[in-house]
Amino acid sequence: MDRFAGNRTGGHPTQQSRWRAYHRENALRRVRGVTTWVTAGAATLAVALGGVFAASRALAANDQQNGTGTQQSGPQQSGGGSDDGGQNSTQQNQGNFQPPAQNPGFGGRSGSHTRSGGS
Amino acid sequence: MTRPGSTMTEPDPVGMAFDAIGTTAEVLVTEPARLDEAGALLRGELDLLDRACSRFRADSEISGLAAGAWQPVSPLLGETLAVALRAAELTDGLVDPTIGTALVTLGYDRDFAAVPRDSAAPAAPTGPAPGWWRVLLDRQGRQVLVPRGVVVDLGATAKALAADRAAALIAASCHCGVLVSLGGDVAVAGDPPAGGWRVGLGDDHTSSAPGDPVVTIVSGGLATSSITRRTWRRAGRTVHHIVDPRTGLPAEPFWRTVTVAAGNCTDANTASTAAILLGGDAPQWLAQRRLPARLVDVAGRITLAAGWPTGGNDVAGARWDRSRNGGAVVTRHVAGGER
Repeated sequence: MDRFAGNRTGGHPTQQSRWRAYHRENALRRVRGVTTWVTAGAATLAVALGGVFAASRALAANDQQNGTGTQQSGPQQSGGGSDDGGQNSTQQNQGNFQPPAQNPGFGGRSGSHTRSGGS
Repeated sequence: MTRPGSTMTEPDPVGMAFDAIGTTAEVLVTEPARLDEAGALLRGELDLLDRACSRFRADSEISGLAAGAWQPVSPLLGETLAVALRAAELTDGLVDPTIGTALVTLGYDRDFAAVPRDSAAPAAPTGPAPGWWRVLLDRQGRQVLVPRGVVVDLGATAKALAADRAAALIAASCHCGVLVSLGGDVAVAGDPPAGGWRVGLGDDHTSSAPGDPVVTIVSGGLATSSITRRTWRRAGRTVHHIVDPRTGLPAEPFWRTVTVAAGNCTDANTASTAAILLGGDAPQWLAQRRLPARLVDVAGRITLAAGWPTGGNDVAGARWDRSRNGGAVVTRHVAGGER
């Protein structure tokens, strides 16, 4: 059962457009791993294989920093970015989920040390 | 307790619990003499977290961030933001820290204890979250840019991160086994007690019910997400705190409660939250990531994934319903539910 099928295929056209933009943005983030950063002088320029996306992101970041930007009304293209201060916009701690070193065992009925439940 | 092959009897772990960050904080240690020290360390860690990350405190660091400009952040807030953005990336945006506006609109705009439990005013829909990718964090995690109009909520991951941090800190300082639970998000570190840490499972971390299953863990973390707790009513409808960033609304009820084990509490919490949002796709999603999980749907039917142990009521009266993904996912319909 896909509870979200209706959201993906139905709804108002504007809503559909936002959905597509949302998932397109996520897909772009997944290829961020091929992004290359080059530092030149005082400015840091983002050079991504999808360079056009990096450029638009950099412009958006600069607009924000210079006070000329307005509230972003929709998802922005991504793939990296920079600002005049030389800060690279990126995420940290990439990688996969860390599975447990040892799966949980059955605890029997001898009581518990603590509980895990909704909070 | 006695370890296999040992003639020494170990004392049972001892613990303490107190209210903090809007939930229950609990610490257990295998060395009773270190309990006070462990409690003090946990309180200190939670105080730091609250001052850095709480959106309910006007004096918190995150509340003071100016929107639309690069701002320096403390190492703790930087780490917490990085963890939140990583969670979003790992879940393809399902666990998104930019749902803050949606939560505020739904009424969760203050410490949960102060949220009106029944409000006649309907919540105006906000639509999809702005998107986690719009929050920019510099490579070192020392500066952040939050665009104007984006409200960051770190609740989904900050609590679990705090459990991981506190457990590691206490184990290193007290040189013993430790379990930290923050509202049922459990992290363990150091040498576990004989037989492992026994964790009871249920919809509510504060109260048990007959037949609740118990599992043991020896490392990493365990987290449970549930739509039955932290609920309130708006205009006659029950809403809860797990918001779907794709809609800006509470997740549609499919799973009542999901418990996940992972290499740390942060990953367990991230996955359990995502599972609530994934609905029927969750078991396979968890199995593909080798994250053992126990999922209870709204009708009380139990699904086990990726090597979650069977036992107790999880097998009593069960019938095999389906198996897929090489047997990594099984659904067991427990006669009459669990309780």
